[in-house]
Amino acid sequence: MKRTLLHALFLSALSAAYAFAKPPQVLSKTTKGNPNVKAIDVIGFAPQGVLLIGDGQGAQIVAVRTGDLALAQSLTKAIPSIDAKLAGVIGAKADGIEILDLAVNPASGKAYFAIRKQDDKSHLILTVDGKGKISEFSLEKVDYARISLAGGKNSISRVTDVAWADTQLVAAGRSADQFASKIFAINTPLSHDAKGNVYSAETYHVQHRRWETKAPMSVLVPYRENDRQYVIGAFSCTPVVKYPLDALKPDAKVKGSSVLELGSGNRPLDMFTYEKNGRPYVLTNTFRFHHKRKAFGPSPYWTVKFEQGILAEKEKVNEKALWRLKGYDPATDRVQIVEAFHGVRQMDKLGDGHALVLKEEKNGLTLTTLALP
Amino acid sequence: MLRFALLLVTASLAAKQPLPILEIRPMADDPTRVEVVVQSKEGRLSLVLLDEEGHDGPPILGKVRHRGKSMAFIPKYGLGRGLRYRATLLGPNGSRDTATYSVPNLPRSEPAVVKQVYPSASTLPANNLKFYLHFSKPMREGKAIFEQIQILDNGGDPIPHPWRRVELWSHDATRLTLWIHPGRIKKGVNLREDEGPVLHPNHRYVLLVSRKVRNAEGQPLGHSYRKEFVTCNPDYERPLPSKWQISNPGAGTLEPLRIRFPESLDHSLLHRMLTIHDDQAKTVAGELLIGPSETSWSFTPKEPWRPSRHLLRIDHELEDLAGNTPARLFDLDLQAGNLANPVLSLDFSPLQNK
Repeated sequence: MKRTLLHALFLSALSAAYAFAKPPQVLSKTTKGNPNVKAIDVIGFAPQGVLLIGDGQGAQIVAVRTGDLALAQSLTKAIPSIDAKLAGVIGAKADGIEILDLAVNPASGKAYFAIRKQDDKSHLILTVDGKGKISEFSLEKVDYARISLAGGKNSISRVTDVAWADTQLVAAGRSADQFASKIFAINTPLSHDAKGNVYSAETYHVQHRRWETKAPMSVLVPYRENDRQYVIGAFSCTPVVKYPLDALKPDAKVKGSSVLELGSGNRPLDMFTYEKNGRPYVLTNTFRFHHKRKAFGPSPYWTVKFEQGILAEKEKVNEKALWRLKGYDPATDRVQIVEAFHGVRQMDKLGDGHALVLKEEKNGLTLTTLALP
Repeated sequence: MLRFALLLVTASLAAKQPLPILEIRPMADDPTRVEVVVQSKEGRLSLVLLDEEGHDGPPILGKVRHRGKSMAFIPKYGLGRGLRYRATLLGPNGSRDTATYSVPNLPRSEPAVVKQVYPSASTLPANNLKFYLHFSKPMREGKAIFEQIQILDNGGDPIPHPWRRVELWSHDATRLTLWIHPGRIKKGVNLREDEGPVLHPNHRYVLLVSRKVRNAEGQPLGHSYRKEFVTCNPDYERPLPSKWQISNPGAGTLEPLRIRFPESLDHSLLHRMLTIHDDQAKTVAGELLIGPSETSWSFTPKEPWRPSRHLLRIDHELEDLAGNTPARLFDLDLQAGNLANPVLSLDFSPLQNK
C-alpha cells in the first residue's frame, strides 16, 4: 500500500490536540449498493475505517465505509506462501492471481489486499486478520461515495496512488497513451458523485536538473508541516517532491520542491512516515531494475529510511537537494538502507512500531510484520 | 458430458449408515461454475483446491443454500481450468464424505497472436518513446510481461531493462502500451548516463514478443512476434501542424479529407486528438483512417461536406514518436524560455465543382 500516514512533522501541540479531540469527518453524502468498481489499481485508508479504492478504468475513487473499527491484535505469526493462500480461497493457484496492493486499516489493524483474478479479470478485496484468517470484503452491498476523476480530455487509465490528507483526498493518475501525470484533489468530507479537481504538478527533477510537468508520479503521501498540509510525491527517477496542498487551484499548476534524490534505476513503491524514539522518519520500499548490474541487496526490492527533517528543508531543495549517493557510495547518513526490509514488495504501516510487509521468500511471498527501523 | 458428470464419491470414514450423495455439479455451459450438492440438510460443506500432490488448499469462499431436503455450496468465483478440487461434507456425527472434480482444460481454440505493433514504420527515431502491442484476444496482465518482451540489438542480445515497468493495458486487455524508460531517453538523467540510451541512432533492432506471453486464460501466444526496425537520429522537434498538407474534399461529396504529416505521429492519439468542426463550430461526425507508418490521416464525413469553412482542430498534446507535442518538446527544460505558440487549427473549405 502506499500511504496511511497522517502523522506529521513538527505538528504543533495545539493542532494535534485539536485533531485528537475532533476526528475529521470522512464521508458526508453516501449511497448504498454495489459501486461496480471496474478495476482496482490501488487501495488505501482514510480515518474511521474508510477504504479508498483507486479505479483507473472507471476513472473514479470509491470511498467505502468498512465498519471495521474494532482494534484487534495484529498479525502475530508470519504467513508463508500468502500468495498461494489468498489465491486458494478463490479457487486459484498462486500464479492465477495478482496482488495489486496491500493496505492496513489503521482503525482495526487488519490487512486488506486488492486482488485481480487473472483468468476472468475480476477484482476483489481480501482481508487477513491478526490470526491469519482470510476473508473477503465484499463490495456488493456497501455504503460508499464515488468521486469522479473523469471529464475533459484528462482521461486516465490508471490510478497510481490515493491518499487521505485531512482536508483533501488526493490521487495521482496516468494515461496509457500520453506521457502525462495528473493530480486530483477533492475537498473532504467526501460527498457521493463529487468531482475531483485536476492539477498539473510542476516538479524540479534533481537528476535531470530540469523542471518537469509531465513525469508520471508513482507514490503520494500526505504530510503536515507547521500546520500546513503537503503531499509528498515520488517519481520513477526517484526524486522525492513536496507540494503544498493549499496552493492548489483548479486546472492550475502546483509547483513542488524536490528535497531528496534516492538514485537512478529505482521505482518507489510504498511510502509512509513514522516516529522512532521520538524522531520522525519516512520509510519507502523501491524496485531496483538495475539489480543484476549493481545490487543494493539480495533482492531488487530494497527499502530506505530517511529523516523527515529532509522534507522540511527550505534551502537545500531542487538543484541543491540532498542526494542519497555519490556514485555508489552513501553521501549522507540521514538516508539509510534498511537491510531487514530487503525483499519487501509491498508494505504499510501497522500501528506505531511496525510495518506489515509482503516479502519475497524462496517459496513465494510471506506476510509478516517487521519492526520499524 | 461434463454437464451431467456427477462425481465421485470417495471415502467414508464413518460409514455406519448410508451416506448422502455428495456431488459436484458443473453449471450448464460453464464447467468452471459449479455447485456442491448433498442430499442432506445437515453437516458442513466445503470445497478446496488440490495441489499437485493432492493436498488441500484453504476453504474456498462461497455461499451455502438450503433447498428442501438438500443443501448446496456455491463458490463465489469461477474455478480454474485444468485444476482439481475436492468437496467435503462433514456430518454432524463425525462422518466425512468427499468428492473430487477436475475442471476440463479449455477446448482447443485459436491461440492469441500479436495482430499489430505501432509505430508501424520500420525506421524509428532513436528516442522513440513507446510501442503499442495489439493482441487478438484479452491477455493476462502482470509484471512478467516486462521480461517476456525484449528489444534485441543487432547481435541478437537483449538490451537490459528497456521498459518503464508500469503496466498500461486497454480496458479489454487487448492493447499493451510499453514505454521505453523515459529516464534512458531524457538527456542529463543519471539513468541514461549510467545505462546509456536504449536505442542508438543508425542501428538495427528487433522488438521480440515471446510466446511466453499468455492470454487471459493462461494459454501462450500462437507464435512469437518480431518487429524489425532501424533507428535514425533522435527527434528533437515539435510536430507542428503548420507543416501538414491538407487535401480539400469536394463540397457535397463524401470524399475523405486527407492530411499528410512530415513524420510519423502517435497511433493512439491520432484517434482522438484531431477533430473537424463546421462553420457553426459543431463537430463533424465521420470515420477516420490512419495511413501507413502513421504519416497520414483521413476523415470521411457521415454527411456530405457543406461548402463552407471548416476547421481541423489539433490537441496541443498530440505526440510524435518521441513524445514531442505541438506545444512542447519531450526533452524540455522549462527554464529554457518559451517556444513560439503552435498553430492548433487549420481551416479548409470543401471545393465546389471539384
